[in-house]
Amino acid sequence: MEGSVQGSKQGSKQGSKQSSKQDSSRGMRHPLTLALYELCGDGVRVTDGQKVGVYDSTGRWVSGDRFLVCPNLCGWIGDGPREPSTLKDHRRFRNVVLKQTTDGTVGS
Amino acid sequence: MSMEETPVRLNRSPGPTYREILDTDRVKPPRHFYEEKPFYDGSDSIPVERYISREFHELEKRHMWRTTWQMACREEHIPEVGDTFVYEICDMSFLVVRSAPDEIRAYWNFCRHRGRQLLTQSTWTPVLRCPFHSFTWNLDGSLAYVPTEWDFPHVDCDELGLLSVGVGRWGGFVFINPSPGGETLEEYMGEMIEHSAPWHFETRFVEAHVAKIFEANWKIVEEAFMESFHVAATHPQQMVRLGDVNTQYDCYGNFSRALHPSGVPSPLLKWTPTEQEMLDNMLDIREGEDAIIVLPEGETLRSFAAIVGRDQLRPAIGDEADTVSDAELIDAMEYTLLPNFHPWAAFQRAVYRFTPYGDDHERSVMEVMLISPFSGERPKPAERILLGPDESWTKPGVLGITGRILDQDSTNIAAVQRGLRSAPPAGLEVTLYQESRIRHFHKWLMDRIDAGRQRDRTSS
Ligand SMILES: [Fe+2]
Repeated sequence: MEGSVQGSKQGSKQGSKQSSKQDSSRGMRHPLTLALYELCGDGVRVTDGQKVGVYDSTGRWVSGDRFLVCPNLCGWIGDGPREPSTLKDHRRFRNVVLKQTTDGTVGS
Repeated sequence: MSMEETPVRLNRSPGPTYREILDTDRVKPPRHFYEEKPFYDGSDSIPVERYISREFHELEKRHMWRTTWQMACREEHIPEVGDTFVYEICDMSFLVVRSAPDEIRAYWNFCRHRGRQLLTQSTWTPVLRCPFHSFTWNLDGSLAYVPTEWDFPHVDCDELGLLSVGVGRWGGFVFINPSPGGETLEEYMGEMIEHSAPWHFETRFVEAHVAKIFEANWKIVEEAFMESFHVAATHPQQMVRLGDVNTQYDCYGNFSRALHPSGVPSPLLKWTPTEQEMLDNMLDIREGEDAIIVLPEGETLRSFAAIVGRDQLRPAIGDEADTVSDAELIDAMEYTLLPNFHPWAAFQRAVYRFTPYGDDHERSVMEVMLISPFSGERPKPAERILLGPDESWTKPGVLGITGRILDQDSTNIAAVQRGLRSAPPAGLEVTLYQESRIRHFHKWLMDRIDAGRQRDRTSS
């Protein structure tokens, strides 16, 4: 595919974004409740409005506030990759041509 | 009532219909994508016995598995004359044999002398010889050798050919039917053959083959893959860029299909993601992480994914790639040829099959084959890897992200069986439209069982 690839990704892996990568909590908002599910030391930290609780990857409460969480999103985050995804993780987009431009982005 | 008629207006989800989504695409799909075949046959609940009763399993064996077309293997599993494939379903065993370069035959797998299975594993063999007393048959099923023939003066050896069963071939798959009753595989598949012709499954090879044992009736596993109603609860991470409740479900004679629109948000969302947010979701970009692909100006996720998809196809099919529709390149479309064969449509690679585990009505096996295009010499098909009930689909490392999604599905299945076992006898209240393929499956199954019982009554 022509065009449209963010070339700074490679830069971000080795360069200035490295610290944020190491700190990545791989967070995702639940599309319906908009609660934020993030990796944390002992499981998945779920932030829903004012409430913050830690749950394991089966959705069982570990610590903090107790409220209804999505066990499947706990699993998706808790058992998922710890590193940000790259193009090679995605078969469909793997061959998208990286075309570096002067401003660090990629396009065609 | 015919399985084709829909006398009531089935309620449908808010949000765009699949046909309306197709209208926004640049390259339009073949005509059948615009066809709707909703199924309605009443609103009865589904009896729990169909999943937990041994008696019902025996009815399925007698009146369904013994009389239906079912996928046994790929042609590439038996490429050479003399290659045999042992196909087993419940307590029945069959030999699928490459009997000539372009001829495949299949037989009940038992010796006509004392009944021993002729083969207990798939292998190459010049003849089919029983290891017990050496009765031997040619690959075409004719009797080749009778040990101590002088002691069989009472038997007409010319009548002792192997008992053959129906064989059909489609898309590189070999199907058998223990008693086809004059119906060919082509007749059985009907319009599914025309729908799938452009996808050339016969030009693919089995790149990966993973199976997993489930502690549940085979239909519970299969039905978990017949609707996308469960996406919001089971796969919520997909909702940003997957139409779920606005999936289109069509039911034909012996097959059904689901057309899941991709690159559009679930109508259940209370917000509207941007095209870039949908792409980021597809690429598993998380909160605060940088995009790895920025959508070009003016492209939607659907149009962009279609362009990328065509570029991927071009080495294999050349400029024909330009005629492949956006929908075929991005949407998740699955077909079910009843009872248990689920090829994903178009250029998706997955094929599912669901069977009882041995003759156990409360355990089953789900298989996932990835069938991929190749160039040059045909690669050998992947060996099947069998996972236990508690093992992850990701363990073999060959299914990619699909393994993680299948793990989400898998969390429900044994729990359904245990729930059904523990509950007082009752019926399952399923939706009219979103689970219409399950209703169609049960109607198809009960029609076969009822017809078989009727035949039994008339013949006794
Ligand atoms: Fe699913």
